[in-house]
Amino acid sequence: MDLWQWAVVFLGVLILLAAVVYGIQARRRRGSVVAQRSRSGSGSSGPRGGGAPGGQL
Amino acid sequence: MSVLLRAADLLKRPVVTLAGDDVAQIKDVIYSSGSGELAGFTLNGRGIFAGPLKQTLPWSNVHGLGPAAVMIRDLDSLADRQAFDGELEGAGGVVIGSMVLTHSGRNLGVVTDVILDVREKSTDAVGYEIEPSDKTAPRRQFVPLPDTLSVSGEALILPDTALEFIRDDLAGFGAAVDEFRSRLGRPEAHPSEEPTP
Repeated sequence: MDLWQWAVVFLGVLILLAAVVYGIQARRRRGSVVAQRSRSGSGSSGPRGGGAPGGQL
Repeated sequence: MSVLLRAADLLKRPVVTLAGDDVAQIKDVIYSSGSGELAGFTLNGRGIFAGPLKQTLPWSNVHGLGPAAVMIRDLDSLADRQAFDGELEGAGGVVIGSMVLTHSGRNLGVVTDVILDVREKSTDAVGYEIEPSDKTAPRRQFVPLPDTLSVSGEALILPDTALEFIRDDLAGFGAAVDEFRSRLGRPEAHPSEEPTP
């Protein structure tokens, strides 16, 4: 094969790999609303210290 | 001041420091299934090939929550994943898509979103947005949650009293939640004990 043909194959593989990586990451990035039992089991959520954010909507 | 918002509206919202650095993006909204308190967020990195971050954002470290971004003071506001190592509920803890049942076994529908009540002192999950199983009902309805939530496996359990407080829109839903919770706080009047007119 000529050099330009190798270049086209290389570029094609690169684009395919990028698409696969993008697809995998897009699946991993998908978020949701999650309920969790607190570790203490006392009903209060674990990490929350009770502080309020300074500004709100 | 109290503001009701859909938890899913926070997904993908950028996390920005007060210095203006866009450091992450909201991935999951995490709340306590026992008390309904918002615990915080898991994060995605920025950039099209970035995946989930090992760091998380506890709600107590949020400086401000705006329609365009979640503001934090600096990178020190982020915590490691251990902040959220509580036990996840059924189906990986994912609430959206779960069935809502009443104590008497009636299927109200499927959860499409969780309604958060953002107040000065705390932020709690106060209701579910559901797609009703009853096809004659409006496409979306809002069901209030009690102070103490019951989440079991893949079903979310509510008292039958919740049926009286289902609303078709968010306007007035906050009042419905308060009324519902005060009703649950009161001992139920036995029919034979009600005064006769």
